[in-house]
Amino acid sequence: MRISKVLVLAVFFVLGFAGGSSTAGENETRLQQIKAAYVYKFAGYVDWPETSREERPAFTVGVLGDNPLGSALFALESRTYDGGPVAVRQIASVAEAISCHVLFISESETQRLDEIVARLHGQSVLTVSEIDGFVEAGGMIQLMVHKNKVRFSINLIAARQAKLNIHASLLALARHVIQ
Amino acid sequence: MSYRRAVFLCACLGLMLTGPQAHAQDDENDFLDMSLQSLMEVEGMPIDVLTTHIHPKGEWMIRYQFMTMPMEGNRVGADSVSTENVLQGYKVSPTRMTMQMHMVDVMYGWTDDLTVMVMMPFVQSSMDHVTRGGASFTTGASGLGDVSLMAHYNMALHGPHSVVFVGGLSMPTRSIDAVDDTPAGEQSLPYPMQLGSGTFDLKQGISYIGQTRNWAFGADAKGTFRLGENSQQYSLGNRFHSSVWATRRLYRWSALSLQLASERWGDVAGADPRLNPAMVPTADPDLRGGWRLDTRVELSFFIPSGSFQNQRFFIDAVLPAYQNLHGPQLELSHVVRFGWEWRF
Repeated sequence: MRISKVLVLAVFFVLGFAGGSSTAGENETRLQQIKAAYVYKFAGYVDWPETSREERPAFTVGVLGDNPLGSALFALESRTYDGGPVAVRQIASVAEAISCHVLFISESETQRLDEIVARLHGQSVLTVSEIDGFVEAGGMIQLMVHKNKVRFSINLIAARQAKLNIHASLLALARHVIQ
Repeated sequence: MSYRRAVFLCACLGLMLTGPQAHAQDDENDFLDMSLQSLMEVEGMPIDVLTTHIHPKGEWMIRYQFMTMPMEGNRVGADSVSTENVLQGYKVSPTRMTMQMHMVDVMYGWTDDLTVMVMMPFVQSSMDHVTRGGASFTTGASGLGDVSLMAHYNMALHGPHSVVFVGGLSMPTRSIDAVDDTPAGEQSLPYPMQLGSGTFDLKQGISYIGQTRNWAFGADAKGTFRLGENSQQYSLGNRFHSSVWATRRLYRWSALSLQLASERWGDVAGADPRLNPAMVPTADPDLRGGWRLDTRVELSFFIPSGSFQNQRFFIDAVLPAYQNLHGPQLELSHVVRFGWEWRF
């Protein structure tokens, strides 16, 4: 019986360890980290116009609204894009978003999505979001979870209007392409 | 609990605790280093969740598991009692019972928040007895058990935390008329040897699931409530289960889980008129309840790609840490379970 009690305590200890010992790098879910990786990977399949490159020397990922990806998104700053650094910024306004290459629009902005899309119209900002109906509303890439895996849809018309060239290989991987 | 079991559990604890370092080195930044094509094959949920869980809309899961559950020796309260002691109060004493179960579960993600499930058990039970006169005999029963229809509903999802409600109905698809030969001729088998409850049973529970990159953890509480009496004028006792658990991904393809579970079950209400409770303790409706604290260890292997993609193989062992039984009642030795599941 004494061994049993010790084992019970040991199991409680492990469960306590499981619940409380997560390091800073483990605070995000797998799904958050996967989605953040998607945001980074998309950049490799998109060409921004030359003028955009001159105006925005550092590759910048912005997040508008409550950041649903947590520090997983800021982990992109450890990577490079086209030989240069990657900056991740919390964006306070749509006007500020124009300085970004990629803008992740949080679901907290659902109510004013039409306004955001309208104000970014024609700007070379790759918009990404998980909002339902995002690409139908004029956004460019919508992330979604399907059968436990992250998938995406693309609005090629919106990308072209923003002078962004999305590679055919990315279009081929999309679940749905509006063109 | 034996020394060997203690060593086994301690080895599992050690593996679980030392796993994080090995895994962190193996997986650091791996999502960012993957190609987009590889990333699209990565599963969003942890490799293993030990409790009620939700499947994405349109996803099916088929699971087969085999379980063997031997019970040996009798207890009264928390204390073991000898067969001789049992035979001072009864003409026959059970000495050992083995229940083996083949279980097929089918789950389907009706929506992203609602998963429905059918559970179909096939049960084989045998019980060894000894009489006051020293004779021994074995009875057995086998067949389809009670089929359950369940629904799992995602009540709340906030970041890495979710709360899932589970509700369902167990149907009396198995008769409670099992008989077998005994020294007194063909007799109805006692309560633990009948393969079904004979009643519609309401099953309800709630689970919390949390997850980080390499850990899944949670707690759950579930109850089985008998709805009325069966055709033999009794109903089995209600059952209550609660547990805390944690799962650690060891590598991309394996996980180790530990669970501490409480099982509490009541005595039989009413009495089967075919049974003589003075003959054997298993026929006494007032000697069926109890409480048990179990430790469970599970090792699972997940196949993420290739021909066997989305299939999982698992093996687990349940070792009771404490038992307090309305007895004399057979005590659990251990449970061993292994199985396979496939999501598509």
